[in-house]
Amino acid sequence: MRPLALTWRLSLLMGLATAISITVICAIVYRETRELYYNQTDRGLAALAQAADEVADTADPATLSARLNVLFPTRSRRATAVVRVWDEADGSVAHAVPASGIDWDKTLSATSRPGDGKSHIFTFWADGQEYRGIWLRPGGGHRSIVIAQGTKPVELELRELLRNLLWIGAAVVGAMVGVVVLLVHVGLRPIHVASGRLREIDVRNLAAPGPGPGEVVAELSPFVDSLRQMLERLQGAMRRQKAFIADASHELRTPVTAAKSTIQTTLGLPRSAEEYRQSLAEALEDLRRMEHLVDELLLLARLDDSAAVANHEPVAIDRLLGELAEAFGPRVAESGSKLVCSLAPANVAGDASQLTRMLSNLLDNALRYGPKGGAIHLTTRSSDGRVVIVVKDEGGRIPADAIPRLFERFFRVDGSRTSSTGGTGLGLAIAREIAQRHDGSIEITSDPASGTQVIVTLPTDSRADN
Amino acid sequence: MRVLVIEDEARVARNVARFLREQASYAVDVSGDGEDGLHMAATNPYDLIILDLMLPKIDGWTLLRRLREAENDTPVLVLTARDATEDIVRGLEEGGDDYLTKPFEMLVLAARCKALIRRAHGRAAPLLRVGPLEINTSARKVMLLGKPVLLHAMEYRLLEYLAMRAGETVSKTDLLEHLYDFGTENFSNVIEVYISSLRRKLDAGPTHKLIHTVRGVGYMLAEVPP
Repeated sequence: MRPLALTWRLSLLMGLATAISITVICAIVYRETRELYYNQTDRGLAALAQAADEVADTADPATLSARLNVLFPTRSRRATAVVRVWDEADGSVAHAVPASGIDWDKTLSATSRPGDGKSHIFTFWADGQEYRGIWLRPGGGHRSIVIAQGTKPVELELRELLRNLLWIGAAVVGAMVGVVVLLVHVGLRPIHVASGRLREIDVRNLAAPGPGPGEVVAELSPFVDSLRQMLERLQGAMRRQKAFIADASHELRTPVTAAKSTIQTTLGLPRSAEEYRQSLAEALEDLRRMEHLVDELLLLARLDDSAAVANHEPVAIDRLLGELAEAFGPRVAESGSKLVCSLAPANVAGDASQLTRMLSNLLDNALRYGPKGGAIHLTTRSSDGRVVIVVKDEGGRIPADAIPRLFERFFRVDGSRTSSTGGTGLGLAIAREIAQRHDGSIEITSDPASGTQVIVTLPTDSRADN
Repeated sequence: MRVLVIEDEARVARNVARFLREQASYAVDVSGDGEDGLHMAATNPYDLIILDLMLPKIDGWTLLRRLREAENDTPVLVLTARDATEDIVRGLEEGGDDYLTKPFEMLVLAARCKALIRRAHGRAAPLLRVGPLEINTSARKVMLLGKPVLLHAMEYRLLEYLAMRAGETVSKTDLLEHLYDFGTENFSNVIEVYISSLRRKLDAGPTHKLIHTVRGVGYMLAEVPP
């Protein structure tokens, strides 16, 4: 369930990021609001203190008390402000709201006394709640004024604000997580669709339809395209493999069929010793054909298995070809052909037995498909770090469209699958595999004027240069 | 019965021909490629064609299609190494009557040939009966009034063909075309010679004359004369 895990990972990440930003924003909002509230409170206190100072410009204590009582009524139920106006010289209190309940000596001694004509804001605890107060000393006298207000309402407001902020923050985080889950789900849906389609694809049915171009979002189309290309390559490989197996089984069955039919027919009636001998010889010949085919198939399988040649011994191609020409002597003589060798030193590094196989396949082809009694030219030369081997016969033209297919396994120019010429149809395929495994190449040209020539190019053995 | 084997693997073709001659008493012609095979099939009245699919020049499927397009009804047994389902289906759907994959058993091939030829003559039973005469086409045994009759290969071939078409008048040309392949020498009165030797061997008394001469037309194998 990988897509789900991705959903949760993204949600968690997004939730966390949102929570952190929301927290920071809330903290800033809370702090600013709190400061705003307190500034406002402080300005209010200052204004009240100013007003108190203005009404207090009388020496008569009774008038003072009456004026202050108008401003700060002692009996008001709704009084929220704490007020104390007193004379510092004699300690007489001109006005106090509330009249008692606050230990002023203790409260005032806990804060610093402002200078003449100065004031300062301070907080204090009294009566079980926090107060914010301003202490004004107007100067020019001994009067001191303290106006204070309980912070409880402000703090309650702030707490309410904080609660609201937390709710909003949680809702935003929740909404973000929801959006992420939805986005991931929607974003991954094309992958689910594609993988559903891919599930229909198996070895037997590589051609199952992948998602159509309209079904795939732009971001996914390179992925889907490469999948489609991979499937096409696999399909091609499977098709070639299937064709190869069909061809191989046909080729293997042909000699089995021949040998079996010979033996069963011979056993059908009593025969003379000569007829039995003839039948056994024919069956043996078919067995040899099969043996040869099995050999070539196994060699091809082994060549398919390894990408490069394991062996890198020095091989003198000219000498190898000379030896092969000698070994083919009897067959050449039998067909009335002749070999014309022009072998300049040509050294390569590689697997001698594989190279021998390649050269003997080419020689065998020239003998098999070249005209009887014609000349077969074997040429080697080396130049520019390359060794060039040419095997040329005087055979007629191979159709141009057949030339690239000559190296396909079991391909035959005449289209029939049987070996009227005796070849397995694998010789050139093997030759090419071997050439390629030696970092070389092989090509065929054919025209009626110069005959058919096979040209193998291999890299020169650098160690044998001098 | 005369069979055409179209098979480019010369040794297999030769063995099939030999086996069918020896073990089924058929006349057999062999063709090594599709073009020649199609020509032979179109110009000779074969009782059965054994056809390989991978042939030079014209492949087996094409040959089969062209044969059927030309309204040739000869039974065709496809004999090939191609054993893929689609090959078998295609082989039969192009007009093949049977399909046998290589490598095969010669006895199975011969048995299928016999069955196809039987069916082509509208018969299911391998035992042909004409009055007191019984011909077992599977074992190639002939019984007259419950007693075995020993026949030469050519005599059996002639009798089997007449028995397949029992009650019908069979022309001398038909006999020559269905009993001889290109490899066998024949001479002008060869049919008369074998007819007379068959009559001698199948003599069940004057009331049981079985081989009748239809003057100017040919011969008929029947319990009662035409």
